[in-house]
Amino acid sequence: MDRPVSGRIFFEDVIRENLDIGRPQQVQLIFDRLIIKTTPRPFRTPVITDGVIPSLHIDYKGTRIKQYHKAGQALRTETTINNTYDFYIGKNLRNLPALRRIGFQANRRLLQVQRISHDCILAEEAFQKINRPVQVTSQRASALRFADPKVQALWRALLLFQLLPTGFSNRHLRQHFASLLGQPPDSLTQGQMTYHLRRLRFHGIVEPIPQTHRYRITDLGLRTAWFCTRTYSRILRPGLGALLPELSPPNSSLRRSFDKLDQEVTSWIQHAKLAA
Amino acid sequence: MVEPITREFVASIERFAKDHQIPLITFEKGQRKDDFAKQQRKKFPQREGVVFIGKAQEKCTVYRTEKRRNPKTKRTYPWIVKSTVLVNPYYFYCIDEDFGPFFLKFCSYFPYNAKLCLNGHEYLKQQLEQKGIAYQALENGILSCADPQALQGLCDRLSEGKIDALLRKWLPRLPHPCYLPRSSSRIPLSTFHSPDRTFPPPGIGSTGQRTHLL
Repeated sequence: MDRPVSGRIFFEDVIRENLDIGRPQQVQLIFDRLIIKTTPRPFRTPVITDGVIPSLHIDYKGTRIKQYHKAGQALRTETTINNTYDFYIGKNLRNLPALRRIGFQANRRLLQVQRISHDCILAEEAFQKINRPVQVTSQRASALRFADPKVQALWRALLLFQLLPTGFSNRHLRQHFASLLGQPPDSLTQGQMTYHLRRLRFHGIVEPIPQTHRYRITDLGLRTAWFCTRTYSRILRPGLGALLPELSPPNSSLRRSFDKLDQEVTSWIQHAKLAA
Repeated sequence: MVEPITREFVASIERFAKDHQIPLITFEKGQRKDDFAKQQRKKFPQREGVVFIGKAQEKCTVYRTEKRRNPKTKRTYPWIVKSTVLVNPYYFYCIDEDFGPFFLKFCSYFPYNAKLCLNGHEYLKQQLEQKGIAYQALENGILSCADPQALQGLCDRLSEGKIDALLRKWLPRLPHPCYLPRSSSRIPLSTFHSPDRTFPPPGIGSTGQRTHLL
């Protein structure tokens, strides 16, 4: 949380995975109050974004819990009780301790209910680390940029060697890498392949097998290669193809949805202009 | 019966402002009172005192009389009803040595409701300064503190007794039409904030900033 971007990413994932927190079942857990038919509605989880900073709101009668990323430093949970009678407590000043207890307990329960399924900060760090140049001692290796065709070809080539107990050599990788780039193997020099192997080694994707000229793919490398290739080829590329009007068939559901969105936004703008 | 009290109360406020050379301003429609108060506080040189008095126009719940007619005798009689009217509340923006900035709002119409509004974070800032504990302040919070345990102790010790004492300290200094009850049990609470801070679970991010408080 010492870095504002990491904190925001963490909080965005907290919100994404806890959008049901404003439902009656959850609200009665948080406030320890039974929700009955006559309890004022609606129960919802509004997410209000001020600039790029989102805030999560939970309502129970006149009481509101607000959770937001305070000053880019920490996740702040703030309970405001506007009417003490929401909790059957009178408005006497001597009831302040009871009110304070209810507020803090609600905060604690909210934090107990909220869950996050993955460590998004580490995942973000790992992704950024691969996509940026790396420096090991005094040596520097260039970034393995996600959308770079050569990097995608490298990931694919590496996956071919995942089951080989003896790893792979420069020559083996060069053959497959060149084929994936649509070039004859001879067009790539050994030095060019050494450059790519060095990048992969410094990023921790492959490791040399001692006393040989061969490499094996690391656990991190295998998972990263698998994830990057599947995401690129199965989600990004077909998704973008189905989305763009000049590339996609007219019956694509994704294109229909985006066309509908475009229509709605356009008509809303037209309506706003007429109203003005 | 009520009108002379109201007139005397408003006159006493104006007299108070004149005698103590305190600015008496009228808030304009849509003007943010907090922003204006912040500007005025910057110019205020004293550690404690009334910064300015603000007059606004707001809708308030009041008790007023209305004329009713007896259906049998056809004679009229007065009756007290609860209703909302536009009245002029007076805001006393003050600074206290222990609590920092706060305001007291008096309604200038019967039953002369009063509202004390204070910020627990400002109380903490004042206390930390008095005790000489280094801290980094936010607008509505504390970012970091040299002694987090002492800070937590201060939070825990902010009690209803201290708030009651603050009100009893300031009411005699200000013009007001009401009498304070003997004990705090009759002073009503309106809004209560309980801010909490959360840190990422162990293993996420750096642990060097865990002493930060908001």
